[in-house]
Amino acid sequence: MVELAGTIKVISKLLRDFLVAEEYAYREGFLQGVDQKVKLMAILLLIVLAVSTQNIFFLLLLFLFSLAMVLLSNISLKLYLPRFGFIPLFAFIIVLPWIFLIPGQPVFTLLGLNVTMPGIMYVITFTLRVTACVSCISLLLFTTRVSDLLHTLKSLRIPDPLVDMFGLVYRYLFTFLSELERMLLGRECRVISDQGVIKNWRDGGKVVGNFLSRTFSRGENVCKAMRARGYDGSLKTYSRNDKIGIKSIVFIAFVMIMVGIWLVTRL
Amino acid sequence: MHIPDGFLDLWVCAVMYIISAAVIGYSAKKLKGKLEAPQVPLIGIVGAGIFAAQMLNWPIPGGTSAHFVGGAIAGILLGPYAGCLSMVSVLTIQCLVFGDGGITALGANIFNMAIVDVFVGYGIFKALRRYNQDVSLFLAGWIGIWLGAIAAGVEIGVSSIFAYGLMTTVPVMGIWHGALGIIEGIITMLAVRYVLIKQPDFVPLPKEVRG
Repeated sequence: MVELAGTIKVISKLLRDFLVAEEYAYREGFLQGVDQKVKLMAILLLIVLAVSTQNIFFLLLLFLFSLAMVLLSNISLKLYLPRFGFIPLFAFIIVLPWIFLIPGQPVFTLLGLNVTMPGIMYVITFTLRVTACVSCISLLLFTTRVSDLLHTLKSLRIPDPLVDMFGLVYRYLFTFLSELERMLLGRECRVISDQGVIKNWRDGGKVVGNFLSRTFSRGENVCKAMRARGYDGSLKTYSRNDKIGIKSIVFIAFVMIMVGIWLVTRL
Repeated sequence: MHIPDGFLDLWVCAVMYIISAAVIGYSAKKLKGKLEAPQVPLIGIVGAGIFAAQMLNWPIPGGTSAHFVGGAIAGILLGPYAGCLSMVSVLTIQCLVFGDGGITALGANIFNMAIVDVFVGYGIFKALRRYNQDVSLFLAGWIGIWLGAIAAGVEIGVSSIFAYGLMTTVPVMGIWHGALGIIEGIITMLAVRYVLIKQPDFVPLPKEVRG
């Protein structure tokens, strides 16, 4: 049987992270007021710049830039930083052995192995790059309503059926998470003793199978309901602000400054 | 298995975006005319179900736990083209709304989990079903995710931004996910078998769509 406590923990974390981000997306703030299309394209551009540079100064500046945007957007750093802290830590641990592996001038000896300067620089650069990238994409998560995101994707000419599917995944995810939680709790209530690994796994498989059957049934009902309401292959999306205002212009200026610095570091 | 931003070279990201876009376009073309407009949402709703099922914690020996991806399940139950689009929806929402996987790496993540996993899983099931349904389901889940992980290993390994080369990344991803993939195979087998036994008359999409 699937581990109930662990599953509920994962579901709770997903919902908590999402609700925290969603709450900030509805607040007043600098990035919340930037045109969604501008914001999406600019953040993508910043991440592309980070991926295509080895310059530690630029990567550090980009990370600080993202933190400045966090503060301007009235987002709590205490909630923002832990949201993505795991990924840079994971990246750091993965590349850490390269402090020994990259040949170069030894800085000091650790466990009988030489720690080299190029090795240290590589590990710092890689970790900083991943941190800057994750911090930038988190800006998008914390300051964009899903309805705005879907509208932006449609305005970027992503085909309607694909965007509708994205919207439905988001719309029904929470319904299915509740259903899954209910099923697991119901199952837990009916089982009074541990029946061994094989029986537990077999039961777990049945739970997933049953859950998938319910998913299909619900999906069919939703499709019928949508057809009854006149769905013709395209859902209407709405956006709060389609106009490029002063906040968007200031944000574009900030991003252009970052592009300028990136170009200077390439010279 | 979601690759974050900063692990792949820009050219690898671009190539994977192009390949993934081509396969998504081809899948959409194959479904065109075969699906009625109201059936399109079903693909997204099944995606939401698979996304929710990914949250399940499966205990494994050693006190740790694993999650499954569900690409093969999507491919087998919806057919490869609709299954691919369903997984694309899941991965895109995971990236843009929940921050799982990078935005520059989205093309690569789609290739690994929505294309390789789905199409390989479906292909194995289709080829071996006539011999033994359970074995074909298990192999579909296992090999689908295993090859997806190897593809991720290749993408990371060829990226100069990541210091480990192909000779490290491919064996590491292959061995680790080869072992974890057994869980994916077992879940695929148990879950799909349940659906096929309990609801043999129920098919989510027309036969010509599922293939």
